Amino acid sequence: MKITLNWLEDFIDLNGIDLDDLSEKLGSQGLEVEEIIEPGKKIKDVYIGLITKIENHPNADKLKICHVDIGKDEKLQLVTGASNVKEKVFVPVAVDGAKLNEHDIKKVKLRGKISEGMICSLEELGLEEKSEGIYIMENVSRKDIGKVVHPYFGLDDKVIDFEITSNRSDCLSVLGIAREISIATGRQIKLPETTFESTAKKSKEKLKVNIKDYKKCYNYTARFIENISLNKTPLWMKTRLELVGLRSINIVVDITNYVMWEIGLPLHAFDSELVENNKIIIREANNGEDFITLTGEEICLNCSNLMIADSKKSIALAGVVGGLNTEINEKTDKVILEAALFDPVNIRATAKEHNLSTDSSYRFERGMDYNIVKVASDRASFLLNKYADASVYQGVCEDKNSDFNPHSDVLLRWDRAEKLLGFEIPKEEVIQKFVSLDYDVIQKDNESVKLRVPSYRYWDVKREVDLIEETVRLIGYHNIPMTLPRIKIKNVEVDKQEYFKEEIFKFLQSYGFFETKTFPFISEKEIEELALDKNRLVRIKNPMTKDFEYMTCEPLVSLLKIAELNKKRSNEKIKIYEWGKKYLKKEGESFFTSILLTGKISKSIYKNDREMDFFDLKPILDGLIEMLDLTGYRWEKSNRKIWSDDSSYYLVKNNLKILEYGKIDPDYTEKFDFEEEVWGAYIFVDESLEFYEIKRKFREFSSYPPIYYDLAFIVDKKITAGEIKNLIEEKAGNYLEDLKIFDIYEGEHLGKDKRSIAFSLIFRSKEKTLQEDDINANIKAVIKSVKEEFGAKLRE
Amino acid sequence: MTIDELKEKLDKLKKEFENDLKDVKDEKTWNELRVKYLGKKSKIKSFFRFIGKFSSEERKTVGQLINSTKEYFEEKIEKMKNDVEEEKKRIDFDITLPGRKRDIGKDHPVTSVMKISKEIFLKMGFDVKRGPEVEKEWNNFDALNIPESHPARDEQDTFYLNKKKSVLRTHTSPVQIRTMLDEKPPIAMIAPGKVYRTDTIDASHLPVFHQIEGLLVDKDVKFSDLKGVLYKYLSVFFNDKSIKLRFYNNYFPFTEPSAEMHMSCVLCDGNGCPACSYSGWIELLGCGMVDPNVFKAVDIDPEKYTGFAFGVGVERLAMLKYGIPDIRFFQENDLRMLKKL
Repeated sequence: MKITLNWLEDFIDLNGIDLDDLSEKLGSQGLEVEEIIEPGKKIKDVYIGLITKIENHPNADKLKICHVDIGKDEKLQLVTGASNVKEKVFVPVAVDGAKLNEHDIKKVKLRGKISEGMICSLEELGLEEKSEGIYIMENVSRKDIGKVVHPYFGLDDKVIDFEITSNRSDCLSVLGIAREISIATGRQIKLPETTFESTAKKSKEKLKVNIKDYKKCYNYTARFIENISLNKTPLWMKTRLELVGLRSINIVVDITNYVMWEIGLPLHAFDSELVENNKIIIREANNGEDFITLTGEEICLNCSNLMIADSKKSIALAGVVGGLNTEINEKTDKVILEAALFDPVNIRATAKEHNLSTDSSYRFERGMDYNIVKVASDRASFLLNKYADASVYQGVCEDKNSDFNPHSDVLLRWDRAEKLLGFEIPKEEVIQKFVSLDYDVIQKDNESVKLRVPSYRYWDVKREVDLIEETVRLIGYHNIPMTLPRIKIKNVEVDKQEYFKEEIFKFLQSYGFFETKTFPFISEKEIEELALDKNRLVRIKNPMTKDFEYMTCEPLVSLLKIAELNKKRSNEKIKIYEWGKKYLKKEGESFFTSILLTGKISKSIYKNDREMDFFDLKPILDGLIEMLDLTGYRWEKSNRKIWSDDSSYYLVKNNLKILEYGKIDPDYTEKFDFEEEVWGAYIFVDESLEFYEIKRKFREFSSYPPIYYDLAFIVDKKITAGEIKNLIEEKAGNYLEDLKIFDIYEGEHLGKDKRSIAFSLIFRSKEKTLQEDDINANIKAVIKSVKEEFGAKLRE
Repeated sequence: MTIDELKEKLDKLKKEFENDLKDVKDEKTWNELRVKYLGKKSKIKSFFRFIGKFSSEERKTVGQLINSTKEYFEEKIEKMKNDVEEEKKRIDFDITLPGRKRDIGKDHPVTSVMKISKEIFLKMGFDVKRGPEVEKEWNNFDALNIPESHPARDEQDTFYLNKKKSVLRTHTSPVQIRTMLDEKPPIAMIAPGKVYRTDTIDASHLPVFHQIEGLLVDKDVKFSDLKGVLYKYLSVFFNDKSIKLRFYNNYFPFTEPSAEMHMSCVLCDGNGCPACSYSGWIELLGCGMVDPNVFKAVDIDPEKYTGFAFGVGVERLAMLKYGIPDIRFFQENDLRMLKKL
């Protein structure tokens, strides 16, 4: 909400007040100053000048050469194409080097004649959307020649932009902000002038007003105004409207807008010639009724919309927007001026339904002040009388809900306030502050005070707790001390999921994986590429972009994007993970740990560079199995589209999928510019937790020395190391403690398609020191069975 | 030969030795020196043969003279041996070469902030709660005193979903509601988590970010307790007891009285810098006393219980704590940042 400083000074004296200090104070009261703008700073070196002589341009029919006195020894020569230029008038002159908003003015040659600047229009000064011709200044005399134009145009003003919270509808006006400043400064506010001479004729004799639904319209006043001259809007008003972001349209609309900005209440003026029988009915719309708004938009109404109508037709969508059929136009000379109060909930519903948010609906849906209706009507009439030479009928024609009471009485118990805030309240000081804001003291004793809330706070101060907030707002939150609460011991259970999360993090990080945080979105395109079931996903109805349309069910896509970014930035080794979620429409959310690795490990003095592959991922798979202490699990093929055909598996135990891994489909990773392998895995957290135990069990270990025995077998390459390992474990007897594969060797002399696999067997007993004899039989059995089973040869 | 002549000869030998000593570079040259001056054919050995040529009175002095020179050589050569070995070690063992390093991963800075925050609040006695991100409108809005009919409903920049009466939660506050429906007071909880707003991405906005919600409900919870808890939390979090807090009135439908809490800027100690727009203050979080309407929605008697609540942005805290200038870095996940933080 923008207002100008000069406008504010009509309502409260700001003499000697520092604007920055005031902003701070208002901020602490909940009225945040977002920005202070000085519009005059955008206009530089523009002076009042007098056109002394005009000559025709020798080379152009439409151009004129003006000699302009701006108080310098030499007159300026300025070339203009404006048709309204004439001699002996005062004009704003931008000289060589001047600034007009975004434009720099320079001395130029126009069709062979030098122009030492420019004569300006309101448009060029930023005070009008479209100007015709230059601006001719009025009420200026010779002694003003050469002065800067800022004061004349009201450009020496400052614009203050406030952030108004949605509960403070009373602050959506210069008046309301002045009232807040009165809290900050202790100075009184003054109301604007509203007295004027009305005609002998009365509005209520000329007009009829009838509210059909008192729950949606609490008060409706109409005033008849005639003999309107559609004069130019006074420059000062035009400037103020422009500076706060409103557009000047015509004197009648400008005045209703001006009063709305100043007092708060949105007003509306109907061309009374277009209103049937001078009759105003406030009624529900007919279902299916079509209505064309002021801006030419066609909307289809229903019976929950409240309309302003005459005896035949709807003429406004109440509190939201007027109708095209009764709009003020160049022939208008009589108007019906509406000042009314509507139900906020209904206005909000209607505005939302028809997607019509206007300055009017914005205010009404936040709740307007019942008692301001008359003031606003009077103020607008005063201005119409003064600036549009209008004859205003006496009084208003009014209908109202007589049960509506714009004042509520609220009890404030001091002990309650002190208990909630935590300090002793200076009661008399607080009461005085309330009184200065037009609260009435209805009753008071040592324990409490009953206050009648002024009508401008009717909509948001209704309860004791609201008065408690007002109390601390008025005297300042700095009065509240700092204390520490006594918190009672309650939930002390260990959160198993959090514990597991910690362990997963520790584990992955110890393998060099970095945690990332991504947006859990997926696009329709990605869904299609990965053949995911769109119907099972949560879709965002109002996504910011198409990329963020669905909630993800394939978090690796997000990790791929992170990997892509890192690769582009030459971060070569990419090992990342995310503790995230998968979101399904029906099943809801489940926790997922997504893991991705790709890229290469660079060369060092200890090892050569190499690309990362499956064996960099494998310890993660093994580690999880160990962490969950899983036995009796199996690997099942996963055929989902994201994976490359032959490399993806689920880890399954008791029909629960605990983990899924694979090489991401090269056709897919190519889209992210990956030529190298990209490996991914998911740990399904909920399923893992079925097997995860925080408690662990001690396993007794032997205190006797071990015997090491190495065996190398030459076998056909088709035979996997795992198969041999399993067989050795089976045959090596109870003393076998550990079995490791320590060497793989291939060489021509071993034979075609053969390789040697070397195992290190560790034997140990819990009861005694083992001797060779204790294991010889087992070694023989191992060798024999590996030979027989796999056609292996022992490598000596 | 007189004793003086012998002395002269020994001194000459010493000088010669000292000269040769300077040339010792390694084991080989050291060994050559040792053989030359202490070996069987060394000059010092030949001096011993002269002893017999002196008178019996002089012999003792002569012996001492020759011995002390020999001992001098022995001592120097022994010391030189150490030096030579040290040098050999240094050459064979270049400790400036890189070690057998491996990467250790790290928490994302958002997680780090959440962990520290959790630790502080757990020590104060708060429990940690979780809630879903696809949340019922009732939990996200209505129960928090933000009815459909109130304009405050529009200010949350909400993502709406194809799932009936559900939204992506716009704040972590619905976890308050879930907890209060589940448990009776006293309740002390925090809820860290992801939240969503339709904010256009810029240096200080992301559509997906993180918040930490705090709630304390009991008999006699006061605004002063809120101030005390926030000060404890933030002074420990930023490891700075000199931080100042100020509370400005604001409007949040779910608290009354409400306040926006500002903290003295930790990057410039309140002197003014770009992070605080040269004001010396950072608008850090919204807070207040739980609105009676919220208590009514979850069936807690507002006459019997009071409570405070607050919600703070995690990325914002991380930016201040680690001096990160742009919120987009959190979403980029550049490994160079993740490694350094």
